[in-house]
Amino acid sequence: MLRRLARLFRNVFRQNQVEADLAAEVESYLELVAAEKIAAGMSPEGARRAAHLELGSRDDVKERVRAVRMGAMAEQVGRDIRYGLRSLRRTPAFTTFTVLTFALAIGGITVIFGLVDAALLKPLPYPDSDRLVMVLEADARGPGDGYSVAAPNFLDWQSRNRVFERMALYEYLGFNLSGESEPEAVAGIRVTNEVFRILGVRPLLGRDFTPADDAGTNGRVVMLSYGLWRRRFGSDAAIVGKAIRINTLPYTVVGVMPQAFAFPSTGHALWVPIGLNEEDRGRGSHSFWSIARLNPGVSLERARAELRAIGDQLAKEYPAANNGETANVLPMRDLWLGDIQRLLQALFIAVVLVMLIASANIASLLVARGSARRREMAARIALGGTRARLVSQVVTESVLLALAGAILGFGLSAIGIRTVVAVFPPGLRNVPFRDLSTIGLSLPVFGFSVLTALLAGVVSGVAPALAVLPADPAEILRDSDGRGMTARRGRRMRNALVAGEVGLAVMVLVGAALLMTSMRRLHAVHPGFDPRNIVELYMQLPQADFYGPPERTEFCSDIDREVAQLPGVVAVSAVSHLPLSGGNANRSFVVEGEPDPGLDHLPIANYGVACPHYFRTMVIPVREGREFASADRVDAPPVVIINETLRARYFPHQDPVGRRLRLGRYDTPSPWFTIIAVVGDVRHTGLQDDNLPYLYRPYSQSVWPGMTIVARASTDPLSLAAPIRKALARVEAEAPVGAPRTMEQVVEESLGHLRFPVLLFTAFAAMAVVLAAVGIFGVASQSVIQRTRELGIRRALGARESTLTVMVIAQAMTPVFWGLAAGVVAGLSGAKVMRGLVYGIEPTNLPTFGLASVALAIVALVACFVPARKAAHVDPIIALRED
Amino acid sequence: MTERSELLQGTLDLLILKALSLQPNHGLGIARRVGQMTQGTFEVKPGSLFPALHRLEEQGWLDSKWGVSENNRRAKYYRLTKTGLGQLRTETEHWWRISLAINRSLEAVI
Repeated sequence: MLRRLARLFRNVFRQNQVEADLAAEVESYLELVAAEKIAAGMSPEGARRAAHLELGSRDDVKERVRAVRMGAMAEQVGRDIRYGLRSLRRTPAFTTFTVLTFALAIGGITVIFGLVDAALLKPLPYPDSDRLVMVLEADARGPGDGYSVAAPNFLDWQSRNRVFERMALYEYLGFNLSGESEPEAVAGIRVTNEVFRILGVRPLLGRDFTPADDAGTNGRVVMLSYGLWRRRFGSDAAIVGKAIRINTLPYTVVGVMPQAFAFPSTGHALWVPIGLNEEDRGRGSHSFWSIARLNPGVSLERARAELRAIGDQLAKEYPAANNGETANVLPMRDLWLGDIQRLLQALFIAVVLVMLIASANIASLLVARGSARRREMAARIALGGTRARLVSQVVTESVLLALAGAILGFGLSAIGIRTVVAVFPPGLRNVPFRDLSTIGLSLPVFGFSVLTALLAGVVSGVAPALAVLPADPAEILRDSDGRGMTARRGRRMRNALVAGEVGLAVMVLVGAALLMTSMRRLHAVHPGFDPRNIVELYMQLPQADFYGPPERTEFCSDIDREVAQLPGVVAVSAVSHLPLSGGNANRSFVVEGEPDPGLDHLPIANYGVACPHYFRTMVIPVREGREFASADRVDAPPVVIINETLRARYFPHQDPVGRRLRLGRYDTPSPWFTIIAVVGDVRHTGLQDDNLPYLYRPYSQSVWPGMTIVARASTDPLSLAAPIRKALARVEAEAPVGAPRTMEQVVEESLGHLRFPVLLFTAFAAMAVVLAAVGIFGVASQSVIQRTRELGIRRALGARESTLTVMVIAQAMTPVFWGLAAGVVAGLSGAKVMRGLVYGIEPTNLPTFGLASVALAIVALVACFVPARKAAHVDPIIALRED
Repeated sequence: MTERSELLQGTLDLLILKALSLQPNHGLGIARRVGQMTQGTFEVKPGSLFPALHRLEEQGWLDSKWGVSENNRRAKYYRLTKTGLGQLRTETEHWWRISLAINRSLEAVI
C-alpha cells in the first residue's frame, strides 16, 4: 500500500522523471532490437529501420503505458486542464462570453439558493432546534394546524404532559416607548420566563426572566432586543438596571438579547414578563401562543398523541369553552413558512430553468466550436487517441468555463443577495424565529454554487463532445467542408438544444406573465374607498393597562378639534384598522330575533373601531342610514355599522337598519347594538382577498389602543403630515406617531408581496429570453456559414433572395416551434407551483401560454433574421471559390 | 499477440511472470523468452509488452532497475518480486484448472 502511494506520488508529481525514464526504456528497446539485427548480419541502417518498424509508434507505446499507470487519471486531468486552458486562451471572445453567461446563471441560482438556505433549510439558530415545537389549540374535527391558545388550557397542558422538558406562553403586543427621544411604537411580546431556556439562548447583557418576574414580584422589568438597544439606546453598555418609559410607566431593563435572537421574529423589539391577569384567565380568550421543548428521545408523533389526549380530556372537563377543541404539536421550523416557501419554491424553479437555458446555450456554442475542431479530433483518433480521452478533454473545457463562471457568479451573488434582501417585502423578511437581515453567503451556499458549476459544466460538455466525435475518422478527414455525417449530427444536436432552450424559456416567460397579469388585475381592483389625497398617520395611544377600561373617550373630538381646522384639510377621522395595512380583528356576533346558532355556528365578522366622518373621509359609500356622530357617546344607545357583505349574508332581502346585534355569544351578558347604517365593502386584508362581513363600532363607545388618523387634503396630502403631527402632539403628548403615508402608497405597498416575485421573475424571464435568442442566433449563423457553398449554388441557379431568406428562417424556426410546443406542454403540467402566487388568473391560463409563445417566436424570428439576410446575400462566386 | 491482446491479457501477464521466474531480464529479452517458451506461437509486441510490464510493476509483482545488457547497452531490467512469485503460482494453478475444464468440455461427446 505504501509503495503504491509512493508510486502514485511519483507518477503525479515527478512526471518529468517518469516520462524521461519511459522514453529511455523505449529507446533502449530500439537499440537492443537493432543490435540483435546487426548481430544477425543486417546493415546498421537497415537494422534501425527494422527496429522502428517492429516497435511501431513510439508515442503509441508510451501512451499505452501511461494509460495503465496508477495516477494516470490525475495526470490526464492535469493535461486536459492545461490543454483546455491553452485552447480557451486562443478564443478569448468565446471564453469571455461563456464565462459571463455561466456567471450570471450561477450568480442567480446562488442568490435564490442563499435565500432558500437561510429561510427554509438551515436549522433554527437554537441548540437542538429539532426538539423545538409549537403547541396550538386545534379543531378536534376540522382541518388546519391549529390556532392561538387560551392561557388556562396552556396551564393544564403544562401540568399534565410528560413529553415536554419545558413549555412557554407568549402574546404579541404593541408598546409605546417614550422618554429618551421621540415617542415610538414598537412590537413586543409578553412571555413566560421559560421561553429563554427553551430556546437555549443567553442574554448578551444582564439576565433573562425568572419565575419571580412572571409573578410580578420584581416590579416592572423588560428585556430589549439587540436592534432596539442599538438603535434607541445607542448600544449603552450600562443599560442594565436603568429604567425606561414604556406605555408611560417606568420599566427596569434587566437584559439585552444577542443580535441573532429573533423571537418570534426580528420585528419584535422587547419582551416583558407575562403577568397573567384575570382577563387572561378566560378559557375562551384565545390570544396566546405557546412553544415547548421535547424531552430527549420523545418523537413528535408521541408528543402529538399525548397533547391530543390531554386536549380531548379538557374538552370534556370544560365543555362550555372547549367543546370541539383539542391540542396539536408542530415542529417550530414549519410554522408560518407557507408564503415564503411557496415563493422561494417558484423562484428556485425559475432560476433552475434559466440555469438550464444557459447550459444549453453554452453546449450549443461548444458544439459549434467542436465542429470547427472536428478535423483535429479525427486526426487525433486516427493517430491512436482514444475516444474517452477526447470526450474528457471537451468536458474538461466546459467544466473549466463553468468553474470560472462560478467564481465570478459567486462574487455577483454576494452583491445580488444584498439587493434582494433590501427589496424583500418586510412581511416576508420577518420569518418566524430567524434573522434574515444578516443573510450571508455561507460555506454550504458556496459549495452549492461550485456543485452547480460542475454539474452545468458536465451537462453542457457531454452533448457537444458526443456530437463532434467522429464515428469514422476517415470520413471526417475526407469531408472537407462540413457537409458530412458528423456535421449533420452536430447540427441536429444544436437544434435539439435550441428546442430545449426555447421550451424552458417559454416556461419562465409564462411564470413572469402570470405574475404581471396578477399585478395588473390587482391594480384594477377597486379597494372600496378613494385612495387619492389621503394621508394616514398611525398613533399608538398610551394605555398603561393592556386591556384596561377606556381612558380617553374624547379622542375623536380632540382630533377633530385640532386637525380639522388646519388649512388644506378637507376631512379628518381615525380608524382602528386601516384597510390594506395588515391589521385585523374578528368578533363573533348574534342577531336579535334569530334563533341561537349554537357555539359551533356563531357568525364571525371582521371588526373595527372608527371615529365620526370616517366613511366620508375615505369616500366609502354609506348605502343606508347615517355615519357615526359625536352624539354616539359612551352613555348613548350603543350603535354599530355593517358592510354590504354582512347584510347580504345575514339580512338577505331585509332592511337591517334598526335591527340589533350582540357581540360574543347568544347568552353573552352585553347590550344589544343597534345597526345604524350599511356601508360599502372595503378590501381590508388585501386586494386579492374576498370581501368579508365587517362590523364598525364608534370609538367613543368602544376604544382601541392604536388608531390611524386619516385626513383628506385639498392639496398634496404629504405636505399636511407635519402640521397634523404637531396637532396630534397637542392631543397626546406622549403617544408615538408613525411615519406618514398616502393611502395610494398604502395600496401600493399592500402589493409588495407580489412586487418581489414579479421583479425577480421578470429578471429571470429577461435572462431566459436573451439567452434563448443568443442561442437561436448562434445556431442560425453557424448553419449559414456551413452552408455557404450550397447557398451560393442556389443563388447561381437563380434562387431569389427572398426565397433563400425564407428557407433559412424556416429551418431555424423548426426547432423553435418544437421547443414552444414542448415548453407549453411541460409548463401546463407544472403550473401548479404558481398557485397561491397568482391572482385573478389560472396558472394554466391558455391565452398567457399562447401570448408567451408568440412573443418568444417573434424574438426567435428577429434572432434568425440577420443570419438569414446574410444567407440571401451570399455571393455565388465567393461562395464557390471557398476552400 | 496482436489483435487479441485484450482477450489474452491475463495470459500475457502469466507468460511474463513465467519468463522472469528464472532470472531478471529487460523488455526485449522478455519478449524473446516468451517467443521461445511458446515456440513462436506468441509474438509479444512492444505495444502490449510495455503496458503489461508497467501494470505488473504497479501491482507490485515486478521490480525494475537500470542495468547493462549482454552486449553492453543500458537497459531496464525487470525482476520477479516475492509477491510476484506467489502470483505466478496462483495463476499457474488457476490456468491448469481452467484449461483442463475447457479441454474436457471440448472433448465431451455432444
